Amino acid sequence: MLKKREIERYDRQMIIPNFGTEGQEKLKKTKVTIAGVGGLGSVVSIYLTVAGIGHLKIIDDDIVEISNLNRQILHGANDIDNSKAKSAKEKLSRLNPDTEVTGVKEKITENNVLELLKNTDAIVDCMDNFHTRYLLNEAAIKMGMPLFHGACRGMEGQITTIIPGKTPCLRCIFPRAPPEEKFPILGAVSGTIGTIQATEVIKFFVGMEPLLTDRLLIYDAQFLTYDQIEIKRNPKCPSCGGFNEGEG
Amino acid sequence: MKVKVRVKFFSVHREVVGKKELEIELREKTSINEVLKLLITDYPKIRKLMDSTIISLNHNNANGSELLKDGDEVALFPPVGGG
Repeated sequence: MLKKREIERYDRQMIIPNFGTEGQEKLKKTKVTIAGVGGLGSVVSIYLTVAGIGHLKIIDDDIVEISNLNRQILHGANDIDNSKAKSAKEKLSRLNPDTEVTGVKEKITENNVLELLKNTDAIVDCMDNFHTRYLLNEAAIKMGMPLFHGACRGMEGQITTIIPGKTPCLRCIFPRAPPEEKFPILGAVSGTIGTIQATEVIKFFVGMEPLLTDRLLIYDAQFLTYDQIEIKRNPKCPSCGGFNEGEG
Repeated sequence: MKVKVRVKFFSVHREVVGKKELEIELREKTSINEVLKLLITDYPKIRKLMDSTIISLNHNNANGSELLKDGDEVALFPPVGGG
C-alpha cells in the first residue's frame, strides 16, 4: 500500500496510461541492484530513486577521484577519496526517504557475484569494463533475472535489455570484449544512456511494452542518431546457449 | 552490373576511417566479408578491431557471408565498454 505522501509524490507518473497506482505499487516492491555507480550508475540510481523503486543496492568498490567528476553526477568535490557506494547512499537517501538504499563497497568477482545479487529482482549493468559485465551476464542467466545493459565511449553509447532464456544475452551480442583502454567519455552522453536504462527498468516492472529486447540501440550524440540492430540468440553461446526461460 | 552500398562506421572505426560513412561501388554478388577485406586494405588498423565488432546489414545482425544488393546498408559497431 502506498502512503499518502507517496500518492502525492508519484501522481504525475501514475497518471501515465498503463502506469497507475498498480504500477507504482509494483515499483515499491522491487529490489534492484546497480552494479557500478559511475557515469551510468549515478543517473540510473537517481532516476530509480525518484521514481520510487522500493530498494536499491549499489555495488561499487571504488573511491571518488577528481577525474570522475565530469560525469559521475552523484559525487562532488567534497566526496573525493570517499567510497562511491557511501557517497551514493547519502545523496540518494536525501532524494527519497521512501526508497531504501544499501551501499556495498565490494569488488564484484566470480566468487561473490551470486551472493551479492541474492534477494534482488534485477541487475543494472553500469560497469566500466567487460570482464565484470560478463560476470553479471552469467549471474543473470543463472539466477533468471533481467539485466539492463548500458555502455558508452566518447560521444556514443549502446543499450539493450536482456531477459535470460528469452532474449540474446550479452555474450550472444558481444562474443568478445573490446580492448581495455582509458576511454573518452562525456557526462551528458553517459547521462542519456543511463536514463534509457532507468526507463527500461521502470517499464519492465510496471509492465509496459515493448522493451528494448532483441535489439541493440546505438546512440550517436555527435550526429544525433539512434540506430537499432535486430539481434538473435546464439544457440551455441557459451553463456546462455541451450538455456530457456523457466528452466533456471 | 555494379551495385552501390553504404558502409556506416561507429566509435573507433569512425576514428580510424575519419568518416561517418562511405559509399562503395561493388560488382554484383559481393559479400560483406569481401567488403571488409577491401576496407582493411585501405585502413589496416581496422583489422584488429574486427575481432569484437558487430556487423549489421540493413539493421539486422549479419555474419559476413551475406551478398550485397544495390542500396544495402552495412554498419560496423565495435562494442563500447565505458560507464
